[in-house]
Amino acid sequence: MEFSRKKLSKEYGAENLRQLPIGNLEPFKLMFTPVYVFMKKNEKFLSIKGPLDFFTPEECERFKAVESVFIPQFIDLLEPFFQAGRRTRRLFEWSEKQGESTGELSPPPFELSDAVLKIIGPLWRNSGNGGIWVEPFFVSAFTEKFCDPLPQEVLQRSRNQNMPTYERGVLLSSLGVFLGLHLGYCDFGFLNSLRKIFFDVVTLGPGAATCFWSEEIESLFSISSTLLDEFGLSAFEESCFEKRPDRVSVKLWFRLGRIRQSLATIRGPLATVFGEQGIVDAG
Amino acid sequence: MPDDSFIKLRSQNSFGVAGALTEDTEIFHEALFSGKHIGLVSDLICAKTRLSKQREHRLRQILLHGIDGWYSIENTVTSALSTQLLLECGISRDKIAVSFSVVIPGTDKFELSAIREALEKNDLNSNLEKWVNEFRRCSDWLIVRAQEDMRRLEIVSINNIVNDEAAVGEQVLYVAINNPVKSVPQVRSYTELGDLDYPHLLRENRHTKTSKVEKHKPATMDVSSTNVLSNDEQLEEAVVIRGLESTIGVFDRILVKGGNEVGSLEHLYDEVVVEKARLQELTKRLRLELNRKPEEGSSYRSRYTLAQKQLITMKDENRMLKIRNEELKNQVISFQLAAKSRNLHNDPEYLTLKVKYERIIRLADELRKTNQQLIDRLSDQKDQKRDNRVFSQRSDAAIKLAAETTKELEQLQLRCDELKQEANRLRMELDHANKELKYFKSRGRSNNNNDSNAA
Repeated sequence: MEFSRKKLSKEYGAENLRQLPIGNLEPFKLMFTPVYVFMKKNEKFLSIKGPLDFFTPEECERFKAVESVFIPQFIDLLEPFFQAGRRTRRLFEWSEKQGESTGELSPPPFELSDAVLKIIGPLWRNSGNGGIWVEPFFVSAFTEKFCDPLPQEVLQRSRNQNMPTYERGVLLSSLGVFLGLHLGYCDFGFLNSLRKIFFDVVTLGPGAATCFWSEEIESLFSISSTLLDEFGLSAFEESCFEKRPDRVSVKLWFRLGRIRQSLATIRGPLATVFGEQGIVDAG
Repeated sequence: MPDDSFIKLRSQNSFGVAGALTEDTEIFHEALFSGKHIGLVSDLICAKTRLSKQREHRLRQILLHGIDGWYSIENTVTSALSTQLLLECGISRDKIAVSFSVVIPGTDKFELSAIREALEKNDLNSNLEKWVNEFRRCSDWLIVRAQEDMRRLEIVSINNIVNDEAAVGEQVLYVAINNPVKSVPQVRSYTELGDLDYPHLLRENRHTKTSKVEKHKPATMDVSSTNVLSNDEQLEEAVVIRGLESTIGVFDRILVKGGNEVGSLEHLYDEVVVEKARLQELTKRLRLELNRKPEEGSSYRSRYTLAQKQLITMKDENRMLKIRNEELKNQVISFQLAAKSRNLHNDPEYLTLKVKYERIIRLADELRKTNQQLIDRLSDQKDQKRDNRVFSQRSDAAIKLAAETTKELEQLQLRCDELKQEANRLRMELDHANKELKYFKSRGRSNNNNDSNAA
């Protein structure tokens, strides 16, 4: 992913970067910020990974000598999305265990869907003109924490083949899962499969789908794809669903109405990859 | 194509119930992945649709057969995506329609014509055919819709709700879709079942904890009648904003909550929770008491009335506390998020303080250096003084030694002089002795000569 600030001065880095011990790097885990190392001779911080990239085990081994890598404070903006992802995952795990361990009936799908919406609703921000919006990059941060990781060989293969397509795969599959949760899809296995299949279809082509989809899933893929085409990394507003005539968009529009009215009321700046605090076009 | 007796459809080739009903339709939808909660789902839909007893029974039949029937035949799952069953229930002024959309698992050829033939000849071989056929018994009109190349099948069961008379004749419409219509006919609303006020509709004790804003309003289908608040404690957790992910290390964690304001709110929140628990316990005990002693004479009625009044008061208090609880929780969350999202880098106060801080740091560095230099000098002087002291001690010792040596030298000199005098004396004595010896020798020789001469 294209990003600004590929090199940072020692002074700027000392003030704005966070240190991350090299031992804490996990192979094949998506990084959502650029990753820097400090070049002692040049006295500069140099980026070694871009956002949405990952480290292979060989790379982790190779960078062991530097002891620590550095990441920007942009990571703070991602934290609410990471947290929501983890909470949603815990909710699903708890729901599955509820039936198995305690012998009680697990919560019904509508109750789960309600609880999920209360977690993910606040991730949407008021856009200022009465609507709500969110950026796809942050949605992928949510999905990364919520879903199981994508298979290592799939990640490595797709990244090596075509980096932009790989990134589109990550963003689109994440968006599919995020919108799927809004549609009330409350089955962990199903959502994991959905992510994997969407990723495969983007990176390998339509023939990669290993099973048939319902019409609703097809629409979901199409909507996610259109959103990325139209908005790229910019925030998309709920009103874009209002304009679309398909059934999934109408369902999403009604569901997002509840978020707009009740759940996205907390005022605050939009978490964005743009601007001085962001990573895409910061000076 | 439908015959004249079939109801007029707005759209045949679009999936879902919207095409089968009029514009005033309210649609409830749910994505199901197992037949586990069929009872709760059908209870909720029935509570929301409020049909006559006979029609409700039929609706339950449809839901039970649609969900349970599908999951009992769906035993050849090839991937997780085919476990999904999309349920839609639309209710218009005069009709109710329920649709079940599924993807047929497997790889064998899927043909709508085969199902139609089996149903028409009543020659039902597969479980799928039996499943589809069963809908005929409880539907006034039935649409069997399929997109064969994508193995998609949708059953739409439509029933009249104005009167209890069923439609006459064969009312099954088979629709093979090549390209489904993407645009859905307009309806009044789509509502996910989770957006309904389900605790109120189901009247379940286990949901009494959840507070709903529109609890006492009549159930309408616009978005404003949906749930808004949550106090499901199991899902709540303290908002801890970490500088990095949990794997990065504890040293990077920043706890935002802990300020006085938030702390006091949390304290209040705890109090409310405790109070709520107490009231719940009291209510439970009262209920038990009432259940245990229903036949205790005439005083029972007055006690019962009193207890009921108390119960109502407590319930009101409980409700108020719940609302207060929610408000406090929201305040806590907003404070936490406000603290988190506060952009310090643009805050002029912060920038001024930062400049001051940097200046002070510089000043402190300079002072530290000066201090170090002074300390160095002081230590040099100390060293010098110490050296001087040692030197003077050594000097004194040397002087003492010199004095002693001089004394000794003088004594030795005296001794030397004495020895010299003694030596002189001895030499003189020796000379004298020598002389005497010579004298005696010479006297002796002369005596000998005299003797010899004498002799």
